[in-house]
Amino acid sequence: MPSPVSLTVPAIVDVGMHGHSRVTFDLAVTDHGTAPLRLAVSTAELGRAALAHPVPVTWHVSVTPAHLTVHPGRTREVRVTVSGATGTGVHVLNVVFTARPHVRHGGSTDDLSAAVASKVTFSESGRVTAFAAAPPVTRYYPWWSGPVAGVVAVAAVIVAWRLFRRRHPRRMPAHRG
Amino acid sequence: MKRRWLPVAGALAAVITVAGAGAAQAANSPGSVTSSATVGSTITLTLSAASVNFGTVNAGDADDPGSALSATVTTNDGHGFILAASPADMTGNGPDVIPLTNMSVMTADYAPQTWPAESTGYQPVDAKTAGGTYNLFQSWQLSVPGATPADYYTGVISYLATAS
Repeated sequence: MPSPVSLTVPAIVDVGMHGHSRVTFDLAVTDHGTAPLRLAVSTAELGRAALAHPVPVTWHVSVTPAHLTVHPGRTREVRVTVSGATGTGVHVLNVVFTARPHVRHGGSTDDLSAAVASKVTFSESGRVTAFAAAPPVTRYYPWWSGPVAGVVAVAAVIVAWRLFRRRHPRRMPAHRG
Repeated sequence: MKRRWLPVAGALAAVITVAGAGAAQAANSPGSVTSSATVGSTITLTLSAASVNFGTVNAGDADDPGSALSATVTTNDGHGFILAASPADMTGNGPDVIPLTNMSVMTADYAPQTWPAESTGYQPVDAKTAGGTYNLFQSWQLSVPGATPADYYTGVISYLATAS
């Protein structure tokens, strides 16, 4: 049975500061449920990493829009802007997307609120991507592609030219005078 | 006179040969390039229902079970995730409430979880250390204080999933 509440966000985002004091990035949120989701977007420090390496209080973090509606099957993006960033080191922040229930039910019920958080890591270089080593390149040179082939080709052209001229001698122009 | 063209023809042939050899080498030698792609990590939280219904309960009841609820978490992040929950007081039309301390949740992996009074924060109710899709059954229970007036009581239980 399809669920009315299902939302997807980036799990981990690595942001490279590269010496800048201001950085902007977008986070996509998708409604995979059957009902529109009214989302509130906020920042928090959840989990050990964010608590151990919080974003400095001097940094200003803003999320736009802070409230949005995502319809089933659709994806929207929010823009996160960090300004006033100084210093180096690794800092972790959570961007929390909270879907509020649309309706309230009577008769001793608890309506459910679903929230999913992206874990954003700020560092100087950002994510270090490890590239797979390329396999060793084995070059293949056919015999006719080397300098020996060049000499053979030149000689063949010369011989052909001489044979052609021997069979078809050019007439000397007549002298006038 | 005719010998004058021999060096020119020879040079031309050499140039054509070398150029052709280079082109053939580029087209036929089995080289390789490095391919790279970044697969972004995502996390999805799906709740099997929009609410947990405790039905008609009586004042003084202990551990009335709520309706079935599954929280399904899917992530391709290899470090896994934490699922946390945060209930709130259940309120009725009058001033009385059923405090959140009277609610508890039990999962397959965790012991029954309760929340301290006036709690506004999340507490972990489950966690996994690897990526995948996990269907996590949530068994909520409600104890009703003895002096609770008859009324409809409603509240909000918040679930949060985040990467470990």
